[in-house]
Amino acid sequence: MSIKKTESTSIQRSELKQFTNARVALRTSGVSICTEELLAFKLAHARAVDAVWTNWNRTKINDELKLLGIESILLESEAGSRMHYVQNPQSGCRINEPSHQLIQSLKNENSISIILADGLSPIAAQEQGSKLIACLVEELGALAMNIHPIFICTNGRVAIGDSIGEITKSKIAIVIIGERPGLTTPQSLGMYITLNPTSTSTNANRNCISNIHPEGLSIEQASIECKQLIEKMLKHNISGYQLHSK
Amino acid sequence: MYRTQLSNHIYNFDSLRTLLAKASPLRSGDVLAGVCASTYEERIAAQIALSNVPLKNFLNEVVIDYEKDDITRLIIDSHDTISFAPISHLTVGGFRDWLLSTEVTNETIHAVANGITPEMAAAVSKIMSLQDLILVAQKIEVVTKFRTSVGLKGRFSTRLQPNHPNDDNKGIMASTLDGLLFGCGDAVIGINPVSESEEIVTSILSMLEELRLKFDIPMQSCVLAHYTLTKNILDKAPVDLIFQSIAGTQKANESFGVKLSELQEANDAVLSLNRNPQSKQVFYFETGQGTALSANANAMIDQQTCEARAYAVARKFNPFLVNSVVGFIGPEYLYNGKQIIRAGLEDHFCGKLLGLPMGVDVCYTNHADCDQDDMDNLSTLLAAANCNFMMAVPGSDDIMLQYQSTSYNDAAYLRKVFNRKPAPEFELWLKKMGIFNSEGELSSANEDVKKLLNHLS
Repeated sequence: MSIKKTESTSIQRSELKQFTNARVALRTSGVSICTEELLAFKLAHARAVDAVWTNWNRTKINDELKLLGIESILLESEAGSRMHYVQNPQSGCRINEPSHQLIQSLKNENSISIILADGLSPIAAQEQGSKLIACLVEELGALAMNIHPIFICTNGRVAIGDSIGEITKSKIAIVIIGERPGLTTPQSLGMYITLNPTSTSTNANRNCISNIHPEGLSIEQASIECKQLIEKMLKHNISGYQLHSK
Repeated sequence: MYRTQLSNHIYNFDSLRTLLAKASPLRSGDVLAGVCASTYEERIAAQIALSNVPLKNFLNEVVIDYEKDDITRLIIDSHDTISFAPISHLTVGGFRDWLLSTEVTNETIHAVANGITPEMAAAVSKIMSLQDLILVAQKIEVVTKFRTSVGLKGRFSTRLQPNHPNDDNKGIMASTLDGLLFGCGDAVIGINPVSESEEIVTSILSMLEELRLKFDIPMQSCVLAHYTLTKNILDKAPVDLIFQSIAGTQKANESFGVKLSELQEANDAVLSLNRNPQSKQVFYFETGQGTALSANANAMIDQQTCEARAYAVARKFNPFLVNSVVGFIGPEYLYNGKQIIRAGLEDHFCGKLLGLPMGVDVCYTNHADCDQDDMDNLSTLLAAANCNFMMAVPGSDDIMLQYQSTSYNDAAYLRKVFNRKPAPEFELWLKKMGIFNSEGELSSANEDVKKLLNHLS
């Protein structure tokens, strides 16, 4: 890595910023962080908190997908409220009874279920979700498998895909979910893929593609990686950490 | 059976485990586990009943069966009856009064420490106010030594935490240098690696060793990989400290791939490198309330009692550092600033009471109901309690773990407000380098500081 030097041999402290996105070389007053940097930090935190607690606009996502010719179905987890969801992770792992009724006729054994869940960043799912799904559906077209309508699920955790995949008897469940926001971005999505999802599946049975956002992994790259993972799962009839050694 | 009779109601508690859980101040993890009191009155009734329990009962009634749990066996088998003698006549309530009394000093508490079980520590903490937790903890001085001495009265140390989302060596070094220029890193320079790769861990440790030797820094380094990985690289990497996260039940530890016998082997293997021959303290442990529940292995024990039981594991290995990562686990265990602040002070108190060199990662995630104001509160209260060390993260923002902890600036603030100095060996080095002036104030305009920065070029 080449670095700018302001004198012939010495690096200035401010130049540490070239090497990391960490908040190094902050300007100070006394020992304290200067006003501008303090408020920049508070703004990043405010955005992260808003990302967790915002109600997402699912109708908007539904409409965007419809324009692209992709059907979707709106579901709810058992959580009921956002507050309950945050304090009871298990409540976000199963869909509620009315949602169950909506999808129980969709059984198909050579199928893929794609679930868009708000997770801990509804903002990320709302802003990036339909773009990622459009790209992913196109990529998965090469697999000659049936793709169910997109399940857009409120107050869902990663394991919601097991509950939905079991009902629809899917071969593959893909959960696209808003990741817990850090201060870097509230826009990050994760994608969790499980072969033969059932309510007994665990994290050990999943493969994950994370950090999908404009400054991280691109939507296109994530879609390609997802397709490749699914091909590998189908070939070896296995998913999760055991897939790494294949 | 334990019982409290109030004017309107008789409360019965079927076991010590239940009584401890119901007496625990409200926190979301105990609600989630279904072990907490159902009303505020029931909680205080439990605290009243608990205050009347003789400490001796804790030796006869365990919270998980002796046969089923190796931590219970460790607690019972290592209990020192001679140390216990001066407090053996006390109830939990009497123990609180004893700890608070002016006659009981650092020396008195150290003398009984090996007679105190984790459950006794947890029990007394549950009936203590925040003020009590601070007042007793600040009496207790637990000093550990490696290249620096951590925990001395009048001193406050930090773990410099220069994490990077790609384990990039130059990124880690940039944050490290920035922290050293703030006087941070005297407890340890500790990196959480993204990747559990022997090559990457070795590479980071080698880079920090080169820095240490080049500038003759009295410091320790650690990469917080699983202990089995660290044990595998002892022939090729300069390992000062071996790290492991631990929990308070055998089943929870098994879920992290932790076995007590293997911890002993790892400890002995690192000791054989002879890098800390003086004190033989080479372990760095991290803990946190809610860990056992998150592994579905809490055995119906409340999360604060589980946490104290993890300290029995730490105590066995004479560690250099123990750190409760109090707010990292999320709001399903500690919902808000109030719960995180109480938990941080409880953990620090219980650890110190049991004789451990306690630090606290004063921290929160973005889905907890918490912000920097809560962190300022907890860090200030912990400094008043003479906490050995806290984290020092650039600008409080850990860009790898995606949570907020204390910053370089926070450390400087606490040292200023409480008139605390870094570890003595490190303070001398800071003055030699001109990072501190002769009055111990931060200063940055001199040639040696430039040499340190130029290490990156």
